[in-house]
Amino acid sequence: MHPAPLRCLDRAVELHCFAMERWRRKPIELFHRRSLRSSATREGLDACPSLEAGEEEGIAVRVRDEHGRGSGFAAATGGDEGAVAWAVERACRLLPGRAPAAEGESWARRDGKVLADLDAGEVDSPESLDRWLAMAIRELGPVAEGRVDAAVTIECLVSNTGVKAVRIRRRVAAHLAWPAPGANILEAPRTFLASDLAGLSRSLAAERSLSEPARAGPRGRETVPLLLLPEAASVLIRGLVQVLHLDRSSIGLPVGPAWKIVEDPRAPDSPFGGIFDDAGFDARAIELADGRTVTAILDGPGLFRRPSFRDPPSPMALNLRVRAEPEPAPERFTVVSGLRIHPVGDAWLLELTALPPAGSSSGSERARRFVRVEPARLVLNVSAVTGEPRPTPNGVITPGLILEGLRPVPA
Amino acid sequence: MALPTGRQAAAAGASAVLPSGAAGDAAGELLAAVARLGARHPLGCLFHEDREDLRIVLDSAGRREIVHSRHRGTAARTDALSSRGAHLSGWAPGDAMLLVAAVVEGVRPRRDARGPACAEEPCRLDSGGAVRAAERLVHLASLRAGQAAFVSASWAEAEQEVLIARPGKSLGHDLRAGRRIRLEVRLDGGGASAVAERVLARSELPDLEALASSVVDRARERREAARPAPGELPVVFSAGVGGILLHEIVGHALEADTAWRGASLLASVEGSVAPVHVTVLDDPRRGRAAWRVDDEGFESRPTALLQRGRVCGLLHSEATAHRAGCLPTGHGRRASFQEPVLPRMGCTFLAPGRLKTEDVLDGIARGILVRRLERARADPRSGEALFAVSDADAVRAGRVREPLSRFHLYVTTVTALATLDRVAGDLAFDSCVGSCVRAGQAMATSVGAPTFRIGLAKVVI
Repeated sequence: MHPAPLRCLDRAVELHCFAMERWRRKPIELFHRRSLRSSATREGLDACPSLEAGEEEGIAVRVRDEHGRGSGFAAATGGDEGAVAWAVERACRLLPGRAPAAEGESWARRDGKVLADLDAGEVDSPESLDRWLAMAIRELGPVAEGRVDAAVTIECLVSNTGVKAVRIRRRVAAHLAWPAPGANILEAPRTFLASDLAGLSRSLAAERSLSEPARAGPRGRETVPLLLLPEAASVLIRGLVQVLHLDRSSIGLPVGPAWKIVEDPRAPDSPFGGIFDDAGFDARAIELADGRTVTAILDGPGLFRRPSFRDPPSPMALNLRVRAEPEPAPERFTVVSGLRIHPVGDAWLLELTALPPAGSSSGSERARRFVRVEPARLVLNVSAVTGEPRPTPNGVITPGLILEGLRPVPA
Repeated sequence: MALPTGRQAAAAGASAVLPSGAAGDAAGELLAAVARLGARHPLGCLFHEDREDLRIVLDSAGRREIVHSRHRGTAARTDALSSRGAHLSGWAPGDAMLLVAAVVEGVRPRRDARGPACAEEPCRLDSGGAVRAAERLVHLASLRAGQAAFVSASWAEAEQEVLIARPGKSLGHDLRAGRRIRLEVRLDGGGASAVAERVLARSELPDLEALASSVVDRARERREAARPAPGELPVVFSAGVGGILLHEIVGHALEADTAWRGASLLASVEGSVAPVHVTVLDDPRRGRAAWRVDDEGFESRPTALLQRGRVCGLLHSEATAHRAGCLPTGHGRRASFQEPVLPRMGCTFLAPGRLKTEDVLDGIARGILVRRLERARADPRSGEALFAVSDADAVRAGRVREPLSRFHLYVTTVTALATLDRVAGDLAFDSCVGSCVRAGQAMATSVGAPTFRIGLAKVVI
């Protein structure tokens, strides 16, 4: 086992003891997070890079009312007794007079054995990130630009309900912007995420092979399928999961043939997740839809997440994975590189950014298009997936997603 | 190496008025460290922040989310353009010198051993009072709206103290604070809803009864909301609300780094883009989240973006000003010590005109009065923008008619500015507030505008 994470866990246990001694009658949970970070930024191949290295450490505490009427939460940067004292004092002041819904379900009880979930690896140096970035820009074109961030994060969770857990994760993310073929205007940046730089290279290659060589747009006014690149697909998948997989009444609703979705916190190829969730429960995989109907919703122990150490744990998806088998891309399709969801009551206005079709001589055919959809019906249009799956920054591992039967209108 | 204590160093090296408390110790350390940084990097910069946030969401269904957090850390960089930078969270004596050593020598900053524990410090924000206000607001609105109504109240408050040390310059010091309360009421299972926000001064207690009454009454009026017909028509923005339009189509387009990349349609236009009565400014010293000194130590100043209908200025950070050969405008901001500095808007507003409010509606055969915008997104490259309208009324024959259900408004910068033909004198700020996210950095911003009209926008349903 790595010595550094164990030292962090020992330190978290010390801090928890300090809090318990000082606030004797309160059940206290302490979450400790320490990240080493690096980044490199470049505007083109010839520009000088900006390099940065740093460290963030923070703690969060939940203090539970001794009568079980709820808990208070507070967080602070730093990893010392001063930070813990500050946070526990504030959390105690926020103890509610009545229990919020489901509060009691979010405290895990364990036997005190150490849960260790450890990746290998050191954080990349800013110089090595810059070398990767320069190589990527060389491939994408001299006016391309981007930023690469790397982090190694150690998270520890200790409570007096017997939780003692440590996790270490390594992540790299690249935000790259490059022009479409034949154009000299940068497209909107796309983000790639992986556990290491080799994984980033694979994701970038998969994206380019999916979106560039065989791009064939519509002829005249015909309606062709939309091919959502993974990042655009991940926004749609997140949105649909929020609508279809949080409310128990959705179970049994029909879905499209490619809507085979699983929440898999233990996915080995994901830079997120692990064997325990952020409240100390065993992480569990759950099949949300099987290509025919909605089969489950996201709820309960094993699914508690903290978007950052400043957020209390709450049930949410972390590693959504599309399980449908990839198929060849259709003969003609429109490539969608960006997607935004604008809710209008129960409906959505989807804002799509389409890449210019192959053969276009400039970026002038790049267009925003809008389509109004009802989410419960939209999921029936998810007909197939194509290309290699890749992790995306919002916790979805997906290949390209093909939507049929939608008729976007230019703005 | 023996470091001077914070206050010793401060007394020896600074002429600025120094902050007190925890920031006072950090100030002295920054001044000692920046002298060493300046010997190698005269354009170097040290930044320190100590920030407290309070976020409260309560609703009538029993949801209760309260987060009180403190965020403290320090960053160093060698210059504004192609720099080497380093940052550390928390605060321990010696951090500033560690960071300077890291950027000068090109190594990762590491504390050798655990720093001494921070002294416990008094709380800046009163969480108890804020929770009580939010609870009372839910109670008052529920009483007025009835048991079946869904009522949600939120309170957001932040206080940030920043210190900026530059070689050869006096210490930059700024205190920034913001506080707001928001109420949402949904009737008939969400079929009719209304929202209002109030920006509060530091010691101000909101009139909760008046707020609850106004929101519940508006939600009731919206029970009769009609669906707007899609198409193009003139749109009037209520006082304050239209500032969001200008933030999106003018402010983002004239952030200097966007213009520098050639990614701004508006910045590339020569000549007149709007009628002569259109003047748009950004003044970070005004509004709900004002700053006096930016995150690079430059005094903020009002900057005219459009004057008499012509593009006349950009919002600059130090890096963009250096490239453009001009002085920074004091708009360099970072969401935290861990993020890079970008040019950001402070308080963007349209200068008031001479018309009376009712004159702006005069003569509109068929149009819309927008009372509230919820979300907005603009693409400075194409000049397109989309706004989610959550509260509006129909206008016919120059008079306000029935409420309209939610819809989206699509505008293009060129058309919106060219047809901005009527401006009233009722300038208001922050009647509709939100955060601005740019390059992943979320920041509180302010907007202001009088009632004004644009001749052509498109309703998208």
